[in-house]
Amino acid sequence: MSALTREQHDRLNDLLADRALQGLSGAEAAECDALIARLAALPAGGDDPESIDRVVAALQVAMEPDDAQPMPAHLRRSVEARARREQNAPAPAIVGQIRPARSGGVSPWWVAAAAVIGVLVGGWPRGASTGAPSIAAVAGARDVVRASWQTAGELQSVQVSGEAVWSSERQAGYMRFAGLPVNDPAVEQYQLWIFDPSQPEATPIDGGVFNIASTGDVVVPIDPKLKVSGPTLFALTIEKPGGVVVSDRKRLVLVCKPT
Amino acid sequence: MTPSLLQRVAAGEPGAVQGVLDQYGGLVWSLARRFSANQTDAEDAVQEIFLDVWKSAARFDPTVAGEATFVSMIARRRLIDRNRRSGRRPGAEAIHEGSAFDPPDAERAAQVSDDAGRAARAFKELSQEQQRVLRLSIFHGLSHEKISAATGLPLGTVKTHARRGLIRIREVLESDSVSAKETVS
Repeated sequence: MSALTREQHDRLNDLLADRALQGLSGAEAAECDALIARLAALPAGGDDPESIDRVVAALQVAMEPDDAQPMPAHLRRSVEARARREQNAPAPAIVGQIRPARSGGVSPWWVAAAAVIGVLVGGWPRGASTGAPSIAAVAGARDVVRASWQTAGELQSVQVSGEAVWSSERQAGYMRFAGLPVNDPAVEQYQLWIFDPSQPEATPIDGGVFNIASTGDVVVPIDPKLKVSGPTLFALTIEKPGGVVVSDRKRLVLVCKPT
Repeated sequence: MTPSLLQRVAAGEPGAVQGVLDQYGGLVWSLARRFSANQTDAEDAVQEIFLDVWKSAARFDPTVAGEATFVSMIARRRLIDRNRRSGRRPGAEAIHEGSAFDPPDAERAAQVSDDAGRAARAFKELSQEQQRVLRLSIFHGLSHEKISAATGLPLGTVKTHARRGLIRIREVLESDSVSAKETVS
């Protein structure tokens, strides 16, 4: 890995400044990540890529007026209530068996990823055990999108809750379900579809095939087969074991639309 | 060493959430109102920001940044992300809210956070044009294009002022940090 040229270094600083001040487009974020990765691979490493973000954040604090109003009482009560819910939420069980569509067996990599995510997505950080890359890091990504599931078709009258969370910058995300019916893997499997501007609507991105073994709180990593640039809709269908390449959407059961 | 509020939140300590809201609720609310289209949008943003704060609390490292800076960084990211998704950014009219060109008070900032105080002192050493560009960008949330339109500076000059100003402040902060470590050792 070679060092960055002066022009590339200046470009990286431009991107880091833009990121901290006004955010980056998907293409800019990818370019920024690639330059950071090149710097990080050098023996001496590079500047901490968050250092400019911290400068801007510190200046933001310094610029705030003395007479900042407190947040409204009703909003504070609401924030506190949500914090309590997060704090008391049991760690979700990982019971969705993840495997790529149309593959012969369960990938050990996915099992490991699911286990890591399962430990870290417990909603509330507990002590120092959450220092590693985590769902929290995905949730903290600057471009993260999240949306709540809505039931459709044969699950219309079933109580299913949860959300899909995705960061295009990190190409990572997860789905959370509570109440999603258990499937028999020998008969059928759940398959996620990601609608994205990069793909025709008729052929959304395959987001992975998985099983649900409990109607409790379940977290399933998203496994897109193509790069996702900005999801406009997540849709869950029930398909034959192993999944399909193109769904006929006859058994569309959950959808969520990021706002 | 006494654990910080965020470290206490990460440990699930009772009362820590209230402590964070007492300390930083006004900061987040102020930012959210300035960066949001309306009250409802601002309240939604505050909910999302604090959810991120709770989930990120275990990542807080007091040797890297102060708590106010950490919370402000999360808040800015969330607000910028929301505005990019909605295609909205604060307009030039925002300049009229408050004093656009007053430099931050370093002494007052230092009372809130040590690194904010040091950043404010370094900010005052920048050129007037750099200060102006950064204030319009950071405090008022204007895009480079809107700053260019509001100030008459070419877009390239706005970007250069922003980048060089931030890098200069980073150099000063890193130099302070090295000096402090050498003093301790």
